[in-house]
Amino acid sequence: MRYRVLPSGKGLVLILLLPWSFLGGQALGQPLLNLVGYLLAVVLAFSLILGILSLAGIRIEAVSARVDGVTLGWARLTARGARGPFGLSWRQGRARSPERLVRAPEPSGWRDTLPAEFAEKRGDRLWARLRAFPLGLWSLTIEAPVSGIDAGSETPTPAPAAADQPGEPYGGLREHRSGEGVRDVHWAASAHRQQLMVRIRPPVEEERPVPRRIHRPAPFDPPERRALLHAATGMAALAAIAFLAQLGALPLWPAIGTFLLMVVGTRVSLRRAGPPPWPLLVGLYAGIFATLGWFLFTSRQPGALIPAMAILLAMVSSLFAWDLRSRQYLRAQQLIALLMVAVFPAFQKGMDTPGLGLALLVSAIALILAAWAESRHALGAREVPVRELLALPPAWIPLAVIGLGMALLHPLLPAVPLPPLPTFGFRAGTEAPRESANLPGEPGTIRLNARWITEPDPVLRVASPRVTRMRAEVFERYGWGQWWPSESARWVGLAGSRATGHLLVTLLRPGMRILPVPETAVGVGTLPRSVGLGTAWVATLSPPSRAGDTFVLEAASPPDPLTDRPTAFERDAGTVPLRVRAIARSWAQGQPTARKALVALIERMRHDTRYDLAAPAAPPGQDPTVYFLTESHRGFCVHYATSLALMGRTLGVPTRLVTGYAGGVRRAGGTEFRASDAHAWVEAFVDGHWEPFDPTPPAAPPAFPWERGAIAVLGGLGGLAVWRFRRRRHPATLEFDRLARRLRRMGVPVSPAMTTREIVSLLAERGLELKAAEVADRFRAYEEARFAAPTRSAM
Amino acid sequence: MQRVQTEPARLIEVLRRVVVAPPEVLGLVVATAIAPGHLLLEDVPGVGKTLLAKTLAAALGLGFRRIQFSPDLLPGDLTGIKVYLPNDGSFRFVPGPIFTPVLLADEINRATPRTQAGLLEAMEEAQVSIDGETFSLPDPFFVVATQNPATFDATYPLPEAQLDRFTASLTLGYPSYDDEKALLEGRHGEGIPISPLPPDSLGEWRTAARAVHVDPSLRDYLLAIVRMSRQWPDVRLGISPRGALAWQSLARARAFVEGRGFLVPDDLKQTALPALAHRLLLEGDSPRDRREAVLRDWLERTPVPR
Repeated sequence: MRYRVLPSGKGLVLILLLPWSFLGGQALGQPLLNLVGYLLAVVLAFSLILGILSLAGIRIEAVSARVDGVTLGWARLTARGARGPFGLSWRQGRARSPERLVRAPEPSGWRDTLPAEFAEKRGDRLWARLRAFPLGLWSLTIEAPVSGIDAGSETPTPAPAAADQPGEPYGGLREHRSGEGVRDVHWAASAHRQQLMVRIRPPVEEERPVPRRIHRPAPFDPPERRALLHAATGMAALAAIAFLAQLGALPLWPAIGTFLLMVVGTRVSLRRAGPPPWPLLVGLYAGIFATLGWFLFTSRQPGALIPAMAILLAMVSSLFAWDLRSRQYLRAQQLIALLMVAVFPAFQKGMDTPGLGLALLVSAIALILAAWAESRHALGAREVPVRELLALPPAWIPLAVIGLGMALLHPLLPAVPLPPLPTFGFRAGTEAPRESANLPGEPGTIRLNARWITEPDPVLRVASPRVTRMRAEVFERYGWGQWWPSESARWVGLAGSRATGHLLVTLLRPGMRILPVPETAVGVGTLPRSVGLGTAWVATLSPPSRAGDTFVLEAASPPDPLTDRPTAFERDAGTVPLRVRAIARSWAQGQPTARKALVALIERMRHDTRYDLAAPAAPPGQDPTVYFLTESHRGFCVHYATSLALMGRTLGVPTRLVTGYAGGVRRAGGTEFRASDAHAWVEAFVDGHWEPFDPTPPAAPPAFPWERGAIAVLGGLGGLAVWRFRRRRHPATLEFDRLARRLRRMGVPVSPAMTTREIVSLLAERGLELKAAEVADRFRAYEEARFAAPTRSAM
Repeated sequence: MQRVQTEPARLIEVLRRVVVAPPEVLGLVVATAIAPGHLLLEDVPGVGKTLLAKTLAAALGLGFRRIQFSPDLLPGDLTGIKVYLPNDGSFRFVPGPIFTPVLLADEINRATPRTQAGLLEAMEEAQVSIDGETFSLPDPFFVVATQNPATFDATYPLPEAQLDRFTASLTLGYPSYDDEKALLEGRHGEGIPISPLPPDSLGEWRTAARAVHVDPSLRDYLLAIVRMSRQWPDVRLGISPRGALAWQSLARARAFVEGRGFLVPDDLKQTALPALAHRLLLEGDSPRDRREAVLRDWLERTPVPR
C-alpha cells in the first residue's frame, strides 16, 4: 500500500493564504486576521486527518477470472472507514457504494480500459489506485499492488488437449460435427487436413459476471462531491471576505450578507433542483450590486474591486451548480482566475504588505490550474474549444453593463458619502463628535480629530490679486494626536527686514493674535523657491485684532539660513507612531535625496487616500495619522500635512506644520480669504533651507487612474464578449420559462434536457391530469410560436 | 393539404386495429416509411413483424412481398436473373422478389454477407444492376428487415456500414396485457378488413414531410448529440453524417405524422433511439440495451433548445 497526500487546487490556495494571514495580522496588528489564519489551519488539518482516516479503511483486493477465454481482472475496492460528509468522495461514482468493481477485459488492456484514476501498470505489476478528496481540499491517493493478474504478459489461450496435434500449424481446432453451422469453420486447416475443421470456442456461460455499472468517466461531479466542494468553496470565500475586509478592501457586512444569501440560495436550489426562487435571486443581486456600488463610490482603491468581484462571482456561480449540465460554474471559475491575475498589480501597488501580490499571483495560477483540471474532468476529457469556455452566461449581462457604465461614469459622478456601516464592535472606527478647530491666527493646538473649518465667513483681505497663500502659524511639537503651540517659537517682528515693497493686509475678523502674511503658492513637483517674506516668519499682534485693522507689510528677502536652523523639536522623530515609521520607510525606499523622498511620500499618500472633509475621527487610543494612513484612508489638509511631517522626520528631514489660508476669492483690487480657506501644509528643511511642501491633493479631479482605466477596458471587453456570445432568446422561450418556473414552484423538477412532452407526462404521472392537459395546450402554443417556420407557408 | 396532414393518423389507426403494438411504435414505423427510409425490426419471433409489414403495405395500397432469408439465398434469388431465350438467342430479365414497393426481408442476418450486400445496395441506390444493365426499383420502395436478437446461431451479423443504411431500428416488444387479451379474443389480427388509402398517398406524404420546417436551434441540438457520440470515451464508432441525416428526416417524418408542419425538440428526442441506436458501436460488446442506455444518457445531459 502506498499513500500520497497532495493539496488540491483550492487547498493550495488556502495553504498559500495561511502565512499571509499570519504575517498580515502581525504587520497590521489585526488579531482577527490571525484568527482567520488559525481557522484555515484547523480546517486544513481536520480535513486531512479525516481523509487519512477514511482512506485507512480501504481494502483493495484483486481477483482474476477467465471468461470466454478472456482474462478478466477485477479489483474490488472496499472502504470500511469513516464515511459521510467528511469521509470519502470518490472521483468516480458515488460515495454511497463503498464497493467498486473494476473490470479489465485483458491484462494488457488495463491502461486502455481502466481510467488512470483506477489502475496503472508499472513494470510488470498492476497497481490499483483510489483517490479521496476530503472537503475538496486535499487529494489523497492510495495505491495497492493488484495480485493475481500480471500486467503485460499475454494469457495463453486455453488449448484443449484433444484438439491439437503436435506439428499442426493451426491451433485450437476440432472436427466438424454434423448439424453444426459453418461459421466457425477454419477453411485453411480444413483444406490442409482434407476434413472440415472448426475453431474451438469456449462455451458461452449462462451468466456472465459483468458488473452492472460499466465504468465511464462521470462528466460532472457526483452530488456528494459537489456539496463538499461547495462547503469548501464557501469556507474559502468566507475566509477571503474576512481577509479582504481586514485589509479594508471589502465592505464586511454587505459582503457577509450576500454570502449568507448565497448559502441559503444554494441549499434551496439544490433541494428543488432548479434555480433559487426569485426573491433570493433579487436579494442576492441587490447585495452584489450594493457591494460593487459601495466600492465604486467609496473605494480609495478601485483595484480592490476586482477580487471582491471575483468572490461575488464565485458565489453566484455556485447558484448554478444545481444543474449537472451547467457550465456557468466552470466559466465563472475561469473568470475568477483571470480576475485574480488582473488584480495582481493593483494589490502590489495598493497594499503595503510586501509579497501579498506575489502570494495572490501564485494562488491565481493554482486556481487557473484547478479550473483547467476541473473543466477537463467535467467535460468528459474532451477538447473544449476556447470559445465555448469564454462564452458568458446571460446572467452576467446586467453585471457587465452596470460595471462598465459605473467604471466609465465614475469620474463624473459626485462622491456620495454613505452612512457609516454598523460595526458590532468588529472595528472600532466610530465617529467621535468633533470639535471645531481654531482658525489659523487664533492661538491654540491643532487637533487632528477636530472638525476643520468650513464656514465661509471672511477673515482677511490682501490688496494684491496675486497672493494665493497666507501663512499664519508654525507648529513644531506633535503628540497625542495634536500639534502643540511652540513655546520657544521665534516670534519675528516685521521691523528690521530689508523692505522691497508694500502690501496692505486688512483683518476682517476680531480677536486674531497672529497676522497671516503672504507666501507664494507652491505646487508639488515644481517646488519653486519661495520669494517675498521669509518663510519662518510669524507676525504676532500683541493686542488681538479688531475688525477692520489694516497692516502695511513690507515684503522682505528670505531670512538668513544661519539664524533659522531646525530646532530639536523639528528634528524629533520620537513622537512618531511606529506604524507611520514603517510606512515611511517602505514608501520612500530607494529615493536618493530628501526632496525626492518627500515627493515620493506625497505621491503615494495621494494615491492611497482620498480628500474628505467629513473623514471619520480616529478611535480613542489610536493615533490619527495611523488611522488615516492604514484604515480610513480619508482625511483633509491637517491629516496630509501631519502625516508628511511625521514621515519626513522619520527619514531624518526636519519638518514643521504651517497653518494659514490658501486659495481665496478674487475681489476688486485684491484677494479675500474666508474661514473655509484655512489650510495646513508642511515646511521641510532640505538643501540647507526651509521649503514648503503641500501634500494635500488638489481640489481638481485627479488624473484618470490606471485601475479605473483597466476596469473600463476589462468591462469593455466583458461587454463585447457578452454582446458577441449573448444568447438570443425567442419571445416564446420567455413564455416557456414562465411556465417552467410555475411548474418548479409546484415541485415538478423541470430539467433543461426535458422536452415538453416529457414534462406533460411527468405531470400526468403525478396524477395532475387536468393540469397536464392545460400545460400541454400552452406548450403546443409555445412550440408553434417558437419552432414553426417564420413565414406561414402553405403547409 | 389538410387531407394529407390527417391521413397518417388514419393509417396508424388502421394499423392499430390489426397489429398489436403501442401507437408510438406504429407512428415510428409510418414515419420511417415517410422519411423515406428502411426499417430494421429487432425482435423475437411471433410478435407480429410480418403482419405489421403486410398490413402497412395493404393499407397503403402497395404491393408486398416477403423473403425468408436463409444461408443458401443468393443475390440472384433476390434481384432476379437474366434468362436465356432460345427462340431469339437473347437474354430476358426476370425480376426477382425485390421489385416490390414493400419488401419484408425476414431474418436478414441468416443470409450470407454477399446476399445481404446485394439487398443493402439496392436499398441505398434504389436500383439493381445485373450484367451491367440497371433496373430501377419501384418508386415507393420500403424495406422492412427483421433480425432475431435471441439466438445468433448460424447467423451473419450485419456489419456496421450496412446497419447504417437502415433509417430506423425498432423493437415491437411483447403486447400489453389488455392488448394480448384482445388478440386472443380475435379483436386484432389478420382477419380485420382494411380499406386502403389512395394509391399515391405515400409519395404525397414524402413530399410534404420534406417541407417540414426545422429551426436552426434544433439542428444545433442534433449536432450536439451526434458530435458527442464521436468524442465519448466508451464509443468506438460514433454517429455518421448519414446517421445525422437519417435522424433529421425521421424526426421530420414524425412531426408530419403528428400533424405538424415544423419540428419540435420532442420529435428529435423520441426518434433518437430508433434512428441512432443501431449505428453506435461501443467498446467491448455492445448489446442493444447498453447502446440505448448510452444514448439515453446523452439525451439526458443535453439541454433541449427552448
